[in-house]
Amino acid sequence: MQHLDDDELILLALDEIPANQRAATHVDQCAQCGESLQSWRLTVGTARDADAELGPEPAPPHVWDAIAAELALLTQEVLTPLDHQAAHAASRNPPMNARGQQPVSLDSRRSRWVMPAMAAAIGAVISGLVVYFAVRDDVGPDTRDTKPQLEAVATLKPLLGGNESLGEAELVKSGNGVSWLQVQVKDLPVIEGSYEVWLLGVDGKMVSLGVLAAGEGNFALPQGIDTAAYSVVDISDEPADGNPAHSKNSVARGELA
Amino acid sequence: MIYAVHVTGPPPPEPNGAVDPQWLQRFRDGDSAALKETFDRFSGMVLRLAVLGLRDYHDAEDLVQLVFVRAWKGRHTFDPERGSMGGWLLGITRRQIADRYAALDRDRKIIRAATSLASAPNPPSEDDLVIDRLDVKNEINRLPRPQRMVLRLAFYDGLTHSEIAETTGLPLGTVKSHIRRGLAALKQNREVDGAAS
Repeated sequence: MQHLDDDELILLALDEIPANQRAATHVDQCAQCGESLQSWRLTVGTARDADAELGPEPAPPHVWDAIAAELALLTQEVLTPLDHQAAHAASRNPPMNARGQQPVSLDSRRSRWVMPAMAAAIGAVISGLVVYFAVRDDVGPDTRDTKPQLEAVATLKPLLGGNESLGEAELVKSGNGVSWLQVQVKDLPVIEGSYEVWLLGVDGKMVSLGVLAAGEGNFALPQGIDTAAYSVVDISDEPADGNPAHSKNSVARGELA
Repeated sequence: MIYAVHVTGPPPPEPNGAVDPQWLQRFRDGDSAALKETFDRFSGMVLRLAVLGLRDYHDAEDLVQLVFVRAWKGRHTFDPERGSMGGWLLGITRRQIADRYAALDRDRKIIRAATSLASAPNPPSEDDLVIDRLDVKNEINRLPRPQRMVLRLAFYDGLTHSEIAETTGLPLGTVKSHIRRGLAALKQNREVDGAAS
């Protein structure tokens, strides 16, 4: 009688169907092969236990980040619009890029915004200077403090569908007078564009702080911005269309307090 | 979700086994959290297949990205009635790896195949045989990489030898050889350890 080789025994131990029935019947009749099979089964059991303990071992987090980032450019869903009041305000006061780094588009659709946007930019510069000098006074020798100070926190929540916190944005002022917004969020919905962080002002104005990737980021605030006036942190879904304005699709929002 | 518990012990369901219908429904409905759960559960399988198939870790990570992006874009075509999520992702992975192979020029393919054959697993050294029986994870992790991944695909991911071979492009004989050598090494460890205690 020809005994089974290891390959055949392993297939039996794995409960894979052997190429022929010979192995299955042989092992029932042959004590020696039956014993070998038992030994292989123990080994297979050990390996299965080890694998169960290891868990699924998913691909590294940066792979997930890359998937989330790529899908953000592709998803078809139209996401939560800005709330009515802010949308209305936005239509009256077009947003500008906070730092004025992006040139204003001059295409016909947007040209009617150019003058107000420029006026707003000039206004921001003037008010910026005012605040800047106020801040300079503030950091005189008496009050100089090199440690960053936590000034306010906003709890970010989805605009629609749920009241659970998606994360926080912390307003921090560093010793040199620069304010930062430290954003940390998770489980943002998958979106069509990129996540862009904004500060919304009480008067319907908004400033962009930049693109949020991988759920967290630190954003320097434009020098001199009045955070009491721009107290709402907003994360929007921005398509890569070259239009620096807010898309009016917000995915999360919270008020600094 | 159901997959969260697997890490802590109970055996995982085979990809072809029953799965939580709500999770699949949420996936089809475009709930990105369900995509993350799918990633958490199955990206390991896809990565293992891709590493074995492409023999390049970075290419393999790229392929994982491609597979999950495809899966998400094509989520409406996934029919839970007709097959499991694991099986569906397996199919996408197989096509993607096959596409990559088709894109490789013939010479490179031959070189890769030769490298694959040349990198026969090493026999376990004396040090390898001294194992901590309590830490069974070590046993799997100490195996040479291709063996380890093939064993994980067979046991944890529940794939048959043929599925592993068809998806990765490895010859069936190579897959079987990895499994046999991997199990032989584990068996030897166990027996040596048993004799020593």
